Amino acid sequence: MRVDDRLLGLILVVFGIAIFLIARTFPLMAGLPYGPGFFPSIAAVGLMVCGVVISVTGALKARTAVGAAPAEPLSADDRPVAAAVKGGVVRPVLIGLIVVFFGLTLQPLGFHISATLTVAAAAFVFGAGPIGGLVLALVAAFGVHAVFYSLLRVPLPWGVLTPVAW
Amino acid sequence: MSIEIFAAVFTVENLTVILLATLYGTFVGAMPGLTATMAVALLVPFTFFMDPIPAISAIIATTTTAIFAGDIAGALLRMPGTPASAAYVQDSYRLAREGAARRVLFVSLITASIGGIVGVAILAFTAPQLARFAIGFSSFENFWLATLGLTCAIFAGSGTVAKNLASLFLGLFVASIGIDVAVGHPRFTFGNIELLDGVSFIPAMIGLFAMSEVLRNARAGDAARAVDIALDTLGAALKGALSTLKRVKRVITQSSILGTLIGALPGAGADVAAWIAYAIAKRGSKTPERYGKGSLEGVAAGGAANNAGVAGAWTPALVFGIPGDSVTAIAIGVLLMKGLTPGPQIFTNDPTLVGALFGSFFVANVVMLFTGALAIALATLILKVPRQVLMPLILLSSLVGAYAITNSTMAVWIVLVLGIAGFFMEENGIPMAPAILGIVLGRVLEDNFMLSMLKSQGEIGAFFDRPVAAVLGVITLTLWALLLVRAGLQMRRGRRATSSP
Repeated sequence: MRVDDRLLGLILVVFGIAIFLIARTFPLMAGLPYGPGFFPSIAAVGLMVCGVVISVTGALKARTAVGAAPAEPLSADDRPVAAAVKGGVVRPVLIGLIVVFFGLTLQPLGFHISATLTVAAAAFVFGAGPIGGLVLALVAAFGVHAVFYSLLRVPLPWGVLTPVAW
Repeated sequence: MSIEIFAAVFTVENLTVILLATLYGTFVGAMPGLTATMAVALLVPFTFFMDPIPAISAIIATTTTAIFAGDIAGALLRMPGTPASAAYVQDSYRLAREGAARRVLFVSLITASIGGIVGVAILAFTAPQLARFAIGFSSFENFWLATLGLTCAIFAGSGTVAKNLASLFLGLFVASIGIDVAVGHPRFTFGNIELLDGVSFIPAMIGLFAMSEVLRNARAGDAARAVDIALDTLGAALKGALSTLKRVKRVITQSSILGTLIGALPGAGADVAAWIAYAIAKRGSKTPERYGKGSLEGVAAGGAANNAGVAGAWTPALVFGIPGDSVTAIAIGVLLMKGLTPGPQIFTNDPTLVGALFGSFFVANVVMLFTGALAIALATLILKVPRQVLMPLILLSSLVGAYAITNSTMAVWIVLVLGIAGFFMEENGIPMAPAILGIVLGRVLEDNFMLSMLKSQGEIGAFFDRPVAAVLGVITLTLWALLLVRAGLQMRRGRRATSSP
């Protein structure tokens, strides 16, 4: 999600102010002017200053950019590939929601069900068909089970499947 | 190499780990858009369950091969597999189009191995000397060293000064979450007991480097492309590559040494090393006009430098506990998890570990020649793995890997939050390297500052009382002044952005 530098700077300033206000409530060390709030405050002030600089630079750039001649288009051979196709924000948001789902259901539903649904949903977002996604999800869930639960002995939660845990 | 070190490197376990890690590194590195750092971040949960030496070997072998394998996608698709291949991607792609794809890849494989070996030789020679010097450092010197490391990261960062600094301060803020060292006050935990210990490092790294990558790929649309280049035969390619290598010996040596030195600067990783070595090789070349249009010399320069940089980054990490790049930042986290504190003491307390690290580096660079050749043979096949299979698997590995470290759902939330943060930062030109250094060094910095303050009873001048501390302090302050100048210039350039698009 690319935002304008002016807005980006503002976000950093607001974030800095929030940190600073919380850090001010921390106690001081006996006899010293420094305490637990000292380093967070430095970070907070730093963020505010950087935010202002980024905003101002962005504003200056935006002002001079008006009426500028468009840059010469690069030939196909020289165009950087990194700047290839850019999609919308819908899919990243969906992926984020899928992770939230995983976090919320991991304990109650158990790893196997939660992971299968998570992978299937993610595969779907990335363009896989429902059957392919489900197959991939089952393979992934049992692969992770074999590696992390059986081999590395990570106590993955069983959730509703606890009665059949092996 | 003493007997114990030899015995520690050449165990069946260690060699198996190195072999598997080179295969894994080749695969991840070859995938466009998946970085070497991501490969390491996903590997870390496994190293958690290993002994220290195989754990470090795994990280080293993965990075080394992933940096090389980045060239595979670069040559065949003109999409650098890792950022470290970007410097010479035009050259390798053009050459591949002209029918020399495998020849280019063999050149970059062999130069990568040479660069890595030169890098580790320099590392093995200089690190113990530096450690001997650094062993007398107190909290004052350590404070300045950490500050200096962070300052270097600002200089080397890929964004503007303001954006690099913002990244650093975000990292420092994340590092300050949890119980504070001085009086035990909970900071920014909002009553959450699991945050008292701070943001767990490994989930944070997985979030920043793996989760963010999944989000970025989700945004990028269907950029996957098929390889439409006819490959040359393996035998002819290898022969051609060897004759090329003889021609560009000088460039390889120069780039290997240069790459090691650049890699050793905190914040400047393999990608910066490749860019600079490429530019310098071009300046000294008899055929500079070929650069960018298909210069094997350029590929050799960049290929040697980025792998040398991987080794170079370990110098400050081992000697001072200051990571040279994102991968060594993660490695420091792994060592700390295993109860080993990187720093000058590690050379006297744990010489076997240090020696084994050098040994494994060497072995990984040799093994890479074989797994790399295999990857060159199977290149088109590797690039065929569809993203709709790969990305969900990376997502699940990230989440389960983070969970495995802490055994709590909190890890999932850390991965998500930092994943979104990393995604948002990258999209807006805020580089991640300074943030990582901030997260790793934030605690070190604060501990040493508070300790020094307690010693001197709040007297700031004490930071300049000891001679080495004073020198480090003056260097740091000078660099800060230079940074201010640079930030000012960048703002002015912002105003005149139109005159030079």
